[in-house]
Amino acid sequence: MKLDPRVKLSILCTLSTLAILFQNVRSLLVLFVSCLIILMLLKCNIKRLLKPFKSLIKLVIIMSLIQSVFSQGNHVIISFFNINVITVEGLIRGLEFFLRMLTILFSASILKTCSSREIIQGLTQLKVPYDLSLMAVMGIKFLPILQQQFSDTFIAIQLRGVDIKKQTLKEKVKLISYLLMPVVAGAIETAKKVSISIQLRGFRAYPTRTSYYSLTLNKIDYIILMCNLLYVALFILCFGGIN
Amino acid sequence: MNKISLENVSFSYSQTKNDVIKNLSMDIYSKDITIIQGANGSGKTTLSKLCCNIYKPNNGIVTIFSKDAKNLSLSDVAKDIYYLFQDPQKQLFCESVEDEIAFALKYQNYTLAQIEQTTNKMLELFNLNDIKKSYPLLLSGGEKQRLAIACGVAIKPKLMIMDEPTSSLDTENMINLVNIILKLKHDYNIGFLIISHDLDFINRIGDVKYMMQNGGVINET
Ligand SMILES: Nc1ncnc2c1ncn2[C@@H]1O[C@H](COP(=O)(O)OP(=O)(O)O)[C@@H](O)[C@H]1O
Ligand SMILES: [Mg+2]
Repeated sequence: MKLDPRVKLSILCTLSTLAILFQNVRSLLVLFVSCLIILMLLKCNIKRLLKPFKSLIKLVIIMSLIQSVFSQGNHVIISFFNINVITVEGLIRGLEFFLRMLTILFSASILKTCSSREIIQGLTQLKVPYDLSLMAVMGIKFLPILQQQFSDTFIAIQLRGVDIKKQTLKEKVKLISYLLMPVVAGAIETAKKVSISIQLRGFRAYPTRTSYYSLTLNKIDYIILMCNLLYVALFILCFGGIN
Repeated sequence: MNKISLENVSFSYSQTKNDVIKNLSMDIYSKDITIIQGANGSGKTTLSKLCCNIYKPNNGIVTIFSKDAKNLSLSDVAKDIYYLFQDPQKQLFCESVEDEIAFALKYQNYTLAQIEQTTNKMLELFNLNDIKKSYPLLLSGGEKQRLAIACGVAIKPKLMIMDEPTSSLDTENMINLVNIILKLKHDYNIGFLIISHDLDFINRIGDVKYMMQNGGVINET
């Protein structure tokens, strides 16, 4: 299914907003499943999409566990010395957090199914200033470059004979601060170069800008937009009373 | 033995892509200055990173100074080998030239006096004394490179790998680099594995020359 990037943006907004507004396992589960279905309809390889988020997902899992340990509740499952470690309520809290984060991550991945050019054009036609949308999209594109710089410096430190694993926690923190410097400096330098090179290509030399490429909404886009609205209405009808 | 040896090594950047290094076998001795030439994209950088365990081969065995590279961490490799990136800026991360040289020494069993002595010696040797308080990322290309080499020499490697060291140097800096390399080999007994296609540079230093082509090597001399 080929959709207009604006439609994808609206789906993203719907899912992530609902995931933040609603606070119970059932509605979050529904949102998560809808998100998965949409990703499948857009024919994207979920496994590949998730690869860059691997460590992030680990973090989410750990945070969910912490949530469930520190939430108070009456139905105790495990307790040590009168301290309730895991309670039913805590587990539910953790699960809610987990589902919410995953829904937000997954719905953001919907945008990954269109190119950055499409997103910029979509935002522009939604009357977002071109400069702003260009900046946002370029920021996302630069992330892998930052990651590369991180790993290069990490390698460089080890190749000076410093075994990071064997250092004390304090030393580790210090070493990580060493990593930050070239990454930030490199990012600023790249940003400078990019801004010069886009200006050399005549960026903003004239007040208006013509897009060679323009988006039009097809029948399917309108249908999906309607479905999206319907979905929001139904969702609020079904789950609105629970919170 | 003081050598890096590769046996039937293959490497690709991802499972779906073609092999960049194809079933390659060679020995690189730390007594020589070994040169690897080859067209852009022929896999020279990849090969040099395999030699110091930055990348691990998909197939085959890399042995670094008699130790199987599989069991070595990068910091173990650093005891024998130093790697100079094509862009030396990537390996500079301290706040001053002095600190940069002293960085690795602080993590070894040196006394403060010894660290200071070694640092001063390196500043002298690489002609960095006038800029020892400067911020490394703001140095010129040639200075950054000399600093990155100085950081390596400070930890006494047996072999130094350099990826296209002359690619951003003018003739004067290039000749300066030749002198540094010859001096390090003579006075410090450091061997070199140098990736380069700068013929003028190669003819001034090379002992052993190889040519890379499509992920394999041909011996030239
Ligand atoms: N990080 C990387 N990820 C994917 N492919 C790469 C990467 N680095 C190099 N390559 C590919 O590997 C091949 C050899 O690259 P490289 O070893 O850098 O060549 P050389 O240094 O001889 O110019 C090239 O085709 C290049 O596109
Ligand atoms: Mg290269």
